Amino acid sequence: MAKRELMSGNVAMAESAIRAGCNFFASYPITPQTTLLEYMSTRMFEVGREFIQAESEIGAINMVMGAAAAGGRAFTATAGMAVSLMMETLSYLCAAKLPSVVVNIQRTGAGAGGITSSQTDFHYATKSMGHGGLHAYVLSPGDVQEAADLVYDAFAFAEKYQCLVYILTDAMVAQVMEPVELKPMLENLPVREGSAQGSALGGTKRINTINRTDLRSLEGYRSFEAMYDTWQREEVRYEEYRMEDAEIVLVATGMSARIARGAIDTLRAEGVKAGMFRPITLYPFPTQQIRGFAQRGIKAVLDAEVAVPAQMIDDVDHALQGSLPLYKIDCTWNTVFTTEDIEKKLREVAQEV
Amino acid sequence: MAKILIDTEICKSCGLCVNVCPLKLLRLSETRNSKGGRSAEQTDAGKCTGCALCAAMCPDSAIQVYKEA
Amino acid sequence: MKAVYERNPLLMGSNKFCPGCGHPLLNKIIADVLAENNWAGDAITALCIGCALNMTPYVDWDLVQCPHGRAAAVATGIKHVQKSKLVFTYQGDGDAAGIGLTETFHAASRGEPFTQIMVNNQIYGMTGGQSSCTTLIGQKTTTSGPSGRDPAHTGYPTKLAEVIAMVDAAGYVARVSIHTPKHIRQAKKAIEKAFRLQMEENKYTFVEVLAMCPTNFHVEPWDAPAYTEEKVLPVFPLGEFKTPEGR
Repeated sequence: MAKRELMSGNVAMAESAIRAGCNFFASYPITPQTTLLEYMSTRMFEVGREFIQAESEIGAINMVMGAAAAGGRAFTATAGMAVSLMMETLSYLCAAKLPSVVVNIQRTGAGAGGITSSQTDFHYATKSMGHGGLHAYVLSPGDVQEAADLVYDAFAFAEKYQCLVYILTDAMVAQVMEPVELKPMLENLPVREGSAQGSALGGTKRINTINRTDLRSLEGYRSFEAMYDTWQREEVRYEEYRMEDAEIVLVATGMSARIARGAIDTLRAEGVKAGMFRPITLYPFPTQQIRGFAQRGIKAVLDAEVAVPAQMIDDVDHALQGSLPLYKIDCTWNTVFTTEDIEKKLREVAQEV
Repeated sequence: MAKILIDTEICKSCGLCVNVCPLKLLRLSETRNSKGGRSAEQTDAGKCTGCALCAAMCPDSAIQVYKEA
Repeated sequence: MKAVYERNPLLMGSNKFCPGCGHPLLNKIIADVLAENNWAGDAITALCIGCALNMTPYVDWDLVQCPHGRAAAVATGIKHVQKSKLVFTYQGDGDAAGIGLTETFHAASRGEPFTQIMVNNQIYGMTGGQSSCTTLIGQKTTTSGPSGRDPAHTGYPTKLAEVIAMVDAAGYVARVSIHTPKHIRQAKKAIEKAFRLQMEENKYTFVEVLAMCPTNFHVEPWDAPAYTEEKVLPVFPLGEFKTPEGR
């Protein structure tokens, strides 16, 4: 068995990116992402890769775009409002089909917001990657090990579909220290075909949103639609916790799922058949899986998230199509719910159904 | 002796070549190309020295210049 | 007969630029520099948003279309992954000096070893002739008001070459024009020098090119060189503002 090391989510994601073959990282400091940037600032040089602390998040994401266009395995990490600065280029990355990986460690709320952990970027990450309505493959890790694994796998996924992979996490996962087993360092990765590496006269590569994906035609957009349908069929990921005979199912991701896990155990000890369903892919959302709850003898669903107004509940509601009663427990800023709060809410739901 | 070839379909009638010809051997034609433009034409071919200023100035690379070796 | 001037095979037939436009002329100059130095197979252009986009189907070397203003950041990413290649941006004044000034300035400050080419025609062409930060005092645009650019309202033209020349890490900074054959020769030399310093000495280099836009200067194409001479050159002086040998 490989060595298990104690490390934060930020460091685990950074090291995993390097091991997955990331050879270009550009970023700008923002709490709570900064320790990831700091780790990369020394580690990338140790392994002979490219690191730039950009002048802004706009600079960082556009450097990522250039690196990806030139065949690099490009990565950046940011948080909260700084994702807004990147949004135009995230749209370009999707449209030009440039493989790249972005981590967003969510901050709380709108505007300057706050640096406490939250889940307020769910809609922002899943509904449209910037202007134009295209999507990234959006993943939500539940702990440090999973954060490391998802970032590692993200690079291969980005190459497979020529797409943007977007890790939507939170400060609780990014900053907590947990034992992690890292995957091996990949070496000698193939050079991506079709990238701009100097190939004039006949072999010329025009990397843009017109020639590359024919985005001036219905067929071009249909091809994206088909890719998203494939993701929905084949690439949905989720975790079921104590769901075998569950009657009440809590749906939560990231920090909410961490807080709620103990509540499921408590309710089970009390004789309530509670379980947890944790979406790992937020786009594609596990719509079909949640839609099947009613056929499994589940009687009620509780959505738990650190966002007010709640956001993921819209996707859960859409999946259920009124087939089951849907409850919610939500919070934001300095009032993050506790395991006991969730236990109390689960008991209330148990009494009503 | 020198010769210039003007691609009348690429020419956009901007007239910049007419300006720079030191011997004033170029003008915009009275006949129109397929796009309706009056492309450049040479008036007195025998006098052309092949200086190629017209070709250097042409934004659209419509002029090529050849000279007796 | 021996060819004195033949069409550069790096240029693809016709183009969509207006008659008398500086862009295809500059495309040709760059193509000639690439061909004469055997650099075409190494060239990667970070291309801006604006009229310059018409360059995409016209030239036959690698291009990456960038979000508006971000070519210097995109070129940074390209160069770090393709270190031995000839990487250069091709941007308008609105792109490099307006919306993208931050990216331009910091690429220069870091001394990123690529070349920025800024095509300064004092106007936003693609959107139909709106004011740019480089628009001349008194020049009438669709957004300047009827009396043209008024310094009391919108200040003075941005002189980016002079600004970049103040940056320590900039290796070569020049402003050239392409309104006469003589100026075209000088422009070609400046671009070749900028590319060579990038390739051989890993320098950040910057060339501002004054280009004609007869459509939005509201002059006939054949009158645009005189317009450039009389109105543009007094505001945007030509020359090398910084060279490796010293200012």
